[in-house]
Amino acid sequence: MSKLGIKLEIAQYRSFMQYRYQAYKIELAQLLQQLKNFGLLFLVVLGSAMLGMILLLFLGLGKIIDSIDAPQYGAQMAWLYLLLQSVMLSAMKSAIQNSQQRLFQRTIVRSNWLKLMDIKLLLLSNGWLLASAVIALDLNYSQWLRAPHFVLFMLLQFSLGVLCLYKPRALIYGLVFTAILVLLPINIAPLAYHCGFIILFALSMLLPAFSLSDRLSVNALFTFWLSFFMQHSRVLVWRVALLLCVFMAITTLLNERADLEAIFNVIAAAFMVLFTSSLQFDCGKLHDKYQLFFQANNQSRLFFISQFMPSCLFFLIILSSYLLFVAQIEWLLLSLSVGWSTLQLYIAQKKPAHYALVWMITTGVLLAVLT
Amino acid sequence: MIEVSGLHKQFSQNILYKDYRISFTAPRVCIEAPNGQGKTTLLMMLAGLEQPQSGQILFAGKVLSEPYKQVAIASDRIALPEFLTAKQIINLTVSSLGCDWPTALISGFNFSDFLATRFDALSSGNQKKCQLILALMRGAPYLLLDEPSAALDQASIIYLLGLLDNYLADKAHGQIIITCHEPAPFIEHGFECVPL
Repeated sequence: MSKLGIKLEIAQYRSFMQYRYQAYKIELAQLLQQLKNFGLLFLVVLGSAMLGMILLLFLGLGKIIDSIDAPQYGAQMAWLYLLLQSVMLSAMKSAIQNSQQRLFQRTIVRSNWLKLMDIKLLLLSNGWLLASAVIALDLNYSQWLRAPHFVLFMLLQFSLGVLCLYKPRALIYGLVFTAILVLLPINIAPLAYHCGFIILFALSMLLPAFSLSDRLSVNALFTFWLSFFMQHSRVLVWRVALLLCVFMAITTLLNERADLEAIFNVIAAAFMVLFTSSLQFDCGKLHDKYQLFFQANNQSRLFFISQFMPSCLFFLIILSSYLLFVAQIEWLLLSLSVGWSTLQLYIAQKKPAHYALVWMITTGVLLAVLT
Repeated sequence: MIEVSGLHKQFSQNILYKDYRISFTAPRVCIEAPNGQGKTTLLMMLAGLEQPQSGQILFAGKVLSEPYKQVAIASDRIALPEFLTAKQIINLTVSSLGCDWPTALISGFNFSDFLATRFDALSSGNQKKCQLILALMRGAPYLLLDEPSAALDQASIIYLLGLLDNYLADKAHGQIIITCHEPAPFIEHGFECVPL
């Protein structure tokens, strides 16, 4: 290729890169706008807790690195990090790939440029991997000797990002299989756990597509909702992932300060109510979209009532899991949580703009009264 | 006969119908009007799926208390669950309304091969067929079809016209009302054009 040709090629690539960065920034801004719509007050609260969350992120990475004494706990922590990373990247996937204009991109540049830009933006978006890289740079030789598995963990972080973009099905299969691995009562070294992760994710790529929801016989509202959640599992997955974080944090805090159990239980209840009742926003949207269809089928009233069931059921499952695996909650708080969850559902339906405010005021009042 | 009287319908500041009255006397009616004049909205109100601000709609001189029993409608305005397959959507309607599985309609529209396809993956023509099957399988006396031939292939239009020819044979007071921008084939099959 002549010099002029190379120059032209570089100029084309740079233009394409600028286009992708611009598209990425615009789509991210839209994502943030959606979060703002969800509740400005949440942003204020989460924003003020940002420093604490970043510190927690590094604390968790420390547990993954230093897991020789408790390899299973370290592996569970690593799995949770990979899950959270996958949830975050799934939400950003469209921005990273500029999915809406994917076909247009194919008409203007060659496919390897597309993938190159995808990977660049993936690395830019993957804060979890960047945090690991910061820690990795800080480790000295003797620390590396104690934590060789951390290299594999970083490799997993990168590979799962790629899977999220190009093989999301394998990512889901892999996360399910690795969840089983970290829950098995076995005693193996952290390096073996991480090798196991890599093998399971690699095997997941070979599995054929399997859609349970297409085989489901949809003949009632229950199977209608079930099918929706099977195909839009992300609305549950991110909530379950964050609740798992809350559960793990509460378990750790209870081990350190059992005397503050009452406070921790109120905080746990608050997050359980928040993450389960906010599911109503998704269910409400679905109800609004398909209400005419069900009205024409003479199921208008039933469909209206059914939209509240997923959130209620989700809350009961999460609450039972907390009681079973984390801690006991006294009857008064238990009953108040059920009432509170119902109230949040009502607010989500009738006054969505006040949802965050009601949640925060109730949390504050309960903390003041019960602790 | 369907009679509309004193109908008032507006969307925010946009008044669509003001003290509107019309009678559909012919058994087969094709409503004609330019885009945005409220044809679909009128069909939705006839089906009881949208409420006017005021006015009355009479079917054979009576107000229908349960329109879903006697009125069937196919319209793009009614979003079908896009995450379900066509078979699941039909099955859900069959179970809800207690009708028979529409074997003849499915094969007549050459739709069998697309039953296992998710609704959002169907072509616009096949989405239209799915809507039509859902409306036609009810066997309701009043049949409202919004742009029934839009996006349909020629064979399916011919099949649809044949169905509509015989649809009212066992429905003494039944009526078919359609909206259409290309009414010629329907007029040939006995539809009376009515401007809005």
